[in-house]
Amino acid sequence: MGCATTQDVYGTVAKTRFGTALALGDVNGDGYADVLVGAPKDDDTVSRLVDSGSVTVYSGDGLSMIGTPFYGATAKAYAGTAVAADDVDGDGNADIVIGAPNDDENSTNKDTGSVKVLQHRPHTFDGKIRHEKIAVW
Amino acid sequence: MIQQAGGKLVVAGYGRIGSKDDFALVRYNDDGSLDVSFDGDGKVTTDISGNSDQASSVIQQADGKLVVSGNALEDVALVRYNEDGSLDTGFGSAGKVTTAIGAGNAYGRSVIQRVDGRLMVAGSSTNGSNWDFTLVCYESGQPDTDNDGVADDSDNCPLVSNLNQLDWDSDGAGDKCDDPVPTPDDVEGDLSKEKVGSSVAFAGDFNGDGYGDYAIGAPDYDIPAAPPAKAIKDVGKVEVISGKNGVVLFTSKGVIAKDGLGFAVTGGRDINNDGFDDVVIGAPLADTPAAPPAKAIKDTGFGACGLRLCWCGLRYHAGCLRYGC
Repeated sequence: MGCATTQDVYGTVAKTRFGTALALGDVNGDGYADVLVGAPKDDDTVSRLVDSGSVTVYSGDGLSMIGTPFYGATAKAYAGTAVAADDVDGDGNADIVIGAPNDDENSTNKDTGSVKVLQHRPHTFDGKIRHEKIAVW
Repeated sequence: MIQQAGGKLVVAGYGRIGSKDDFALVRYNDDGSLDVSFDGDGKVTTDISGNSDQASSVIQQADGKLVVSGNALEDVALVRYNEDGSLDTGFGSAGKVTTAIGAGNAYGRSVIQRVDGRLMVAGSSTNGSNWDFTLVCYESGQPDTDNDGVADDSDNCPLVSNLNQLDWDSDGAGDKCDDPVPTPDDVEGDLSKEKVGSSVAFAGDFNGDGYGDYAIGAPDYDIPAAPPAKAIKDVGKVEVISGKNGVVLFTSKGVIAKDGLGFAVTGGRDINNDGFDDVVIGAPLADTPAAPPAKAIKDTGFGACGLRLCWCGLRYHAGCLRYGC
């Protein structure tokens, strides 16, 4: 006993509530369970959405970030309040389910919330095989 | 008997040829006439043992070949035919296989082809004193290029390993060789402030279709009502969504205002060992009920009643066992 080791992963922006939700799943098909971290108060600075929230995926093989974070679609959507990862489409790779409980259906129907499924998808097509183990969504 | 594409019927049995029985196959057109494209006259007989050979069952493989089971004298027998009624000489010995089971007679009454391509024959055999149920399994004898355990002639994606053989659009081409399984549409809440997505969880294969499903919680969901009645506020709701096509497989709602059902949800385990994954839902603001004049204990949620869980996802349960703890 006493063999446990720890490795910390910090959010990069203050007050994003990074770590509110966590999930494990092999999303890139490399055999390692990857770590998904929700940060519901994160901002999408590119789209200028305050508190859109985000989910970031870290490789189980070294905890490097895979791709870029997934952000909520509207300001104050709080995406990343909940997150899950497992194989939804039966291709053997984990897909990602993200909850954004304060997302707006439209400008008048506020805080309906939303759930988005991100399926593991290939980015190449050879005419026959369309499911490949490539970490692209 | 089987029915083929176009309505043709193939009947398996046996016919007396001279002083003995032989396997017999007859194919009819959908108007009842003999199909002369089947061995010239619509009829095929096959001698196996030189003695009494009687067919009992026929199946058609994915490649169109016909497999017939029965008995050849005292042995279980299989014969495979090409689509035109000729013997498939690549199967067994000149299209025929016989298998001795015990000391006495054996009958292969029924045959199926498993998903991995193997042929399974069910029947009976005697050990000399009594009859026993008998199963015989045959290797497919077919190549398995992708080594996934499913022979090429039965594999819906023969060059890519896919033991699960999933085919979401039922077009005959497995998902691994076909258009990708489409991403389910985003689930949007219907009502303002119901907060869909406050909790999400993988629900395992909730409906047993081979695809993973997921559960989503909306703890601030209101049960609407037409005025002058008032909506029941914040009862909460959980839905289980199909990973195959995005349809709602299961819905559970709270009953009393501020139950907050769906604040937490988890799944992906078979709780009651019925072969289906279940979902467990938390309603942390639910009240523990009491018969008047006693008053309900408010907001017990988890804890006051052991684990205050709603076992809503148990398959075949009509709904949430709200006070079942």
